[in-house]
Amino acid sequence: MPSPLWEGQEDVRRAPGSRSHALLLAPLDQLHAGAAEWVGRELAGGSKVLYKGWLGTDQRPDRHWIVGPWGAPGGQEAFASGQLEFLDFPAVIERCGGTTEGLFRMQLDELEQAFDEGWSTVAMTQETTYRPMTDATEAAEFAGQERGYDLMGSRWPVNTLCQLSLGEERDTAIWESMAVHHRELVATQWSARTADGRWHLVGELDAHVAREFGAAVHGALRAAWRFPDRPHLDVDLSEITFMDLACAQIMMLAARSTARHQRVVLHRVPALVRELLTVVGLPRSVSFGTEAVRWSS
Amino acid sequence: MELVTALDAHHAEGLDHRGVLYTDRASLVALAVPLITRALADGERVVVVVDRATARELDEALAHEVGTSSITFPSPSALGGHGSRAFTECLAGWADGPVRVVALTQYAPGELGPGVDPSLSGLPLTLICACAEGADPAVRRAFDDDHDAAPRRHADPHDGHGPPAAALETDLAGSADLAGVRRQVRRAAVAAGFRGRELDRTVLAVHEACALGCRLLVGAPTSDPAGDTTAETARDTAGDTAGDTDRRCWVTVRTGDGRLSADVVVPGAAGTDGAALPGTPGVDQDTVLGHVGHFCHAVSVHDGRRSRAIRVQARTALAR
Repeated sequence: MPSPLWEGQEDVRRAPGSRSHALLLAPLDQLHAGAAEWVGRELAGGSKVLYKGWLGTDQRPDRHWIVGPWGAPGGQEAFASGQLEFLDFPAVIERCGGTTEGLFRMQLDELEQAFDEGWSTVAMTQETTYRPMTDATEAAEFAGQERGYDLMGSRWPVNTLCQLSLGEERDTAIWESMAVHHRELVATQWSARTADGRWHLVGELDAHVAREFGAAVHGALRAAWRFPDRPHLDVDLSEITFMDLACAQIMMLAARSTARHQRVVLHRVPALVRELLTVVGLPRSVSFGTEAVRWSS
Repeated sequence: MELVTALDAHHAEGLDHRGVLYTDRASLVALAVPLITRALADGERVVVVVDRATARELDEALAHEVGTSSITFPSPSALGGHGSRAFTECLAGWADGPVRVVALTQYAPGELGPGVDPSLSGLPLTLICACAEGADPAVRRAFDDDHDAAPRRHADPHDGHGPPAAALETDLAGSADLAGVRRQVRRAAVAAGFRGRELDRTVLAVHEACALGCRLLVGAPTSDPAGDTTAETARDTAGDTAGDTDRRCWVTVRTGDGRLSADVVVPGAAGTDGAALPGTPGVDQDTVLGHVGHFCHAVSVHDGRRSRAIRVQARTALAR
């Protein structure tokens, strides 16, 4: 059954080998459905799928949900043929020595092996990890691992999907994950992607998603600041279908605390969203692009 | 604090005397802007008697909205203390004409008289007395005494102006339900004749009432991880609005004649005036309502004995 998480997300759910690195954030049941659909699509597109996750108490990969009746379409056959390869997290930690560098080397080995076997594209996905993410050191390690996926995508035709379970992961993990993955993410009511130098927000931004949205905004601002020539964050709001006060406040609060000389430029802002942001209070660091857009009902 | 609006003022023939409590200058400005904007739109005269800093902020805020040429900002010293003879004479002078006058006045230390003189009762005057929550005890006592007879909140959220037909009855257990309720409200509003921008604004206003209801359902903010100031600020503002499954907000939407009236009833939330919302330090209910007032005809809060009702009223252009 198609997952509603991917509805209208064609720009994020790219074709196999598109070098995307996205985060899927949802409650566990929806997360499974979304991940299963993503894996099924990669399998159908001819990718080698490297799946990392948690095994059940029986420790049998062939009984993992991804190859079961509610798993990826074609998952069972792919597992039997070797197109879908499963590795459980304890084994991952053992093989990589529990370090970021070790993990990166292990993944490079996996990729080389897959391409040596003749696969033209590779898809990597990992289940929610339940990392505590309690301090800055661990958050930095996490960010380093995620940069590894970006690096692999820049070198090879690899798609990566990180899964994060809303309601099971700690707030800190969700915060850091959303910040790191702000470029490309899919959540239950909204998504974000980066294209043409702009951060595109899509869907409904309301109080229910305000916390995760705030994390993504924070990550986007932090990432933009790394470009000294133009540290501004360009945000395209034309695909927002709803925004409420909570998210408007989040965005303006983040803009208010930008670094010196950094600006938030809002493009194609629906009229009501513009009014909402004005009511909340526009800081000096915010400006509007010139393109007009109508928020249709 | 009750959000008093020009719509409320229309209900009275003569003196309409209200008391409002505010937390800080920003919340008073947030309260006053929609009130003044609507009063002016309805052709009423507006007199604002507040301290200079508040007057300056209001002046700036209103300059973007309506221009301030039709608003008078007399010095508080011209009015005298609340209930004083000078106070009564000033108000009587302002309201001595065919046009209704909306006077926003601020309780402050100084001469405090025995309440509003009954001689004002027949005048076309909406008198809104504002008092800071943390005011000097003597000022606060005078304010409370003056306004006990004129309750700051209506006992009944249904004032008779809302159309009677219930177009929607639903409930919310937490913020996860907001999107679904939003769609139901949109359908009800469309059926009532709301279109385009009016429709979007109405849905937004009702949504905010529902979101506020969800926040009031929640008891405590969630834990915050260590991080930099930006992160903490944004996290704090987001708030956790996952609801307690045993408690629900009840939402009733009535429509008719191009009007929509939505009541969001929160059990056990009465008596939390001016308190910071759970998970949102520094953001109180009145600030939120002040913002919501920009997107609908009126928004108000009504306390019952065991619940709080947030009411949003919207009208199509044809119904105005």
